[in-house]
Amino acid sequence: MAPRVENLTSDPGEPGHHRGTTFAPRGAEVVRLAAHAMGTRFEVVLCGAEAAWLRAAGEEALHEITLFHDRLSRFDPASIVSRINRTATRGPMHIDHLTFDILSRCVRYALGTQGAFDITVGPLMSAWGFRGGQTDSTPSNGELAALRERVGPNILRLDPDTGTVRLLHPEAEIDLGGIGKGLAIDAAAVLLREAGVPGALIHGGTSTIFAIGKGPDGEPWRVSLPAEITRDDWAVFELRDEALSVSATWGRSRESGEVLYGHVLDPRSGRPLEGRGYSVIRTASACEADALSTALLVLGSSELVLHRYRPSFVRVEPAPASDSEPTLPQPGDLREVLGGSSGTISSNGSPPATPN
Amino acid sequence: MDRRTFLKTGSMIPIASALGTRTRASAAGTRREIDGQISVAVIGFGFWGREIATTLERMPEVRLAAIVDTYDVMLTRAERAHPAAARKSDYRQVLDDASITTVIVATPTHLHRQIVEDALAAGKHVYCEAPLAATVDDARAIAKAAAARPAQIFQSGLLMRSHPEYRSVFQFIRSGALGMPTMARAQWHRKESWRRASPNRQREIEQNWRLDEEVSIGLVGELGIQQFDSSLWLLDRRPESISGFGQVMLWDDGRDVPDTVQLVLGTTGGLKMLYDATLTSSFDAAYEMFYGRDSTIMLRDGRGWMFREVDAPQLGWEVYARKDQFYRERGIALVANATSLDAQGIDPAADDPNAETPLYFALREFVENHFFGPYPPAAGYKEGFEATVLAIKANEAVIANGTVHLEPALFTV
Repeated sequence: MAPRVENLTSDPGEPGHHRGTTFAPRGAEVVRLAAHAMGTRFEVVLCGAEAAWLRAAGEEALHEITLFHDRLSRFDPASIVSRINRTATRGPMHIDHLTFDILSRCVRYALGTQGAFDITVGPLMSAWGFRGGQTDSTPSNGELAALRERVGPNILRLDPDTGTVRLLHPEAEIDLGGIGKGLAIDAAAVLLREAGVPGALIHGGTSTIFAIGKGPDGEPWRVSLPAEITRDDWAVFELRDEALSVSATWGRSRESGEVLYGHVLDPRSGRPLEGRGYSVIRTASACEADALSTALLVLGSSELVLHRYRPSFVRVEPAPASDSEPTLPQPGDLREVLGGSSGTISSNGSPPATPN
Repeated sequence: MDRRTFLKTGSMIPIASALGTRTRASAAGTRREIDGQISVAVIGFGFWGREIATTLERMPEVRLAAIVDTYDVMLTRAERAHPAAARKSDYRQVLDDASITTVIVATPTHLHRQIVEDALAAGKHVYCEAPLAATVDDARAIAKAAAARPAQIFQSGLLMRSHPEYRSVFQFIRSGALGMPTMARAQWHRKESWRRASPNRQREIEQNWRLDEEVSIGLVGELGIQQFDSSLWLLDRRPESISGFGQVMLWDDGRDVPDTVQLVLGTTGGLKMLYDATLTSSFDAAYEMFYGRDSTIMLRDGRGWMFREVDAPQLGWEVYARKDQFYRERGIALVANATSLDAQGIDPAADDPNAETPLYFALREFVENHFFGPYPPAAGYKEGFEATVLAIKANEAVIANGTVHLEPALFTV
């Protein structure tokens, strides 16, 4: 599904089209750039006065995103994550301030979600076949118990005095895939602001989104949920200096017997979530939105998390369904959940946001 | 931790002693006794300066003492990324600080000379990014200043000279793995405008020095220098002539600096190297190829592969080596330090467990020189000067759309 931003909805061939959008006022420019990173496509849409300047700012933002890819990829043996996984199991490993800060935030999210968000969950993901290889494996209870010894926020030891990280199990590992997009997008947004870009929208695979300022029509950026979620109605979020992240259990789901397993795994039980569900987080930080949208899927209706992070959370939780289509909230339900925030529901949009 | 354990378990394997193509340093009995850490200042906090600072921060032997930049936005970024480092707007402030022993110069190329000369005069050890300068006169002045102070470390930022994979391939090539070398080819491809944005118009002009033909030595000067240098070093050739072509093909935004360049470098023995760099296409990124009678070697992303001719004599070890498929060709993976990895119980056919960025290896060597040296770095002032002269002349060829003959005297410091 092509990503879609309401403000930019236009046919390039229609009359009045100007540099990519019918909404751009005279003299305004809209520039779209993209790059591949973290296994997905990142895109930056910028609007402002001068195309060359916007492109320069957008390129720097995308470059920042690829830098985060280089640092956080567990597939690149030279990345900091790979080096931690190789080295920090054997003793404290000296890391740079940025990496230390990222890992500290991950620990905070893990503790704040009672372990529902966990960057050490990799061994369990592998065991369930969510990392390629054997995709129909179902680990036994004994295997799961053994694997859980290698998982959990307590496995990760950060020492601020020495600036070191240590993994306390010889086969433990970290995987920042659940937060990497948000981290990169936040960093890119900072650079765009420093460059003075008045309006921009950044997304990673359309599942994690950050909006700066206003869109080219002078209105907040409007982002709508995909049709799989909303069926024949649309949930449109107006974003301005805010992030939105969507997570869902489907996508890379798999079936075992009569059970449908989503690709999101509960680190506390060691088991994938069953059935279909999704969550939407809207908050000031893409990193926070990215991490907590996954955690919220795991936690379900936990009031603890809602209370802890209110009012930045927007949460939608359909009941698990056994049929092939997700059970969807009605727009009225969504509006109720959104009450008190700046979000709105409208029926004149179509979906851009794709769950990760 | 004894030395054996350090070598077996640490990610900080001393390059000088474990990975080098030449043994140096402590053998001469000149090892310095340094307690604790060395204090380093990074001068210039643009994109590359940020990478340098982040890389240094991972080294326990380094205290990132200060970051210097004249642009307040960069100092704000420095504060975010390295809150423990002091932030200065004038490099002379770190030169006056006796506790800072070492500076890394990562400013725009045309600003290197004054900073390097002042830093060396202040007694600092210096790592200067490549190219050393934008003019031959400036590069020679830097080289002379470094040569005059042998007790101070001077390393130029020719990254691949410190890279273990390149050092490993160096040994392969020098031992005749190519058979007779017949040609070389390298490229650097990326799709980007090379422009920088700033809310401040004057700053924007300063930040876009790479697009200013008055001070920029273009794509071949800023990027090609690394690939030319590593190729000539690996093949043991001297440059004799350079022919170039350059044009603005895509980014027609008023710039004069070409976004696409193609060159032919003539070297000793008649071997020619083809090179192209472009900002118009990202296809196939960057790599170097070395062709010979018996095999071809490809280096890309810090890794190497050898493609054997069917009539070449078989190498004893190649049947055990990992093979990777490249369309219809099978490349034999060249793994640096395979023997020592095997001795450590690490599968040499797996991804390199000591994999790091080229910048890390270069800075690692520079830092170790403080503890084990002083010794001539793999990329010292002489190597840096020669590579810079070639880069400057290559850019002249591109601008002239012609040929520049490279007399040996040109490369004399």
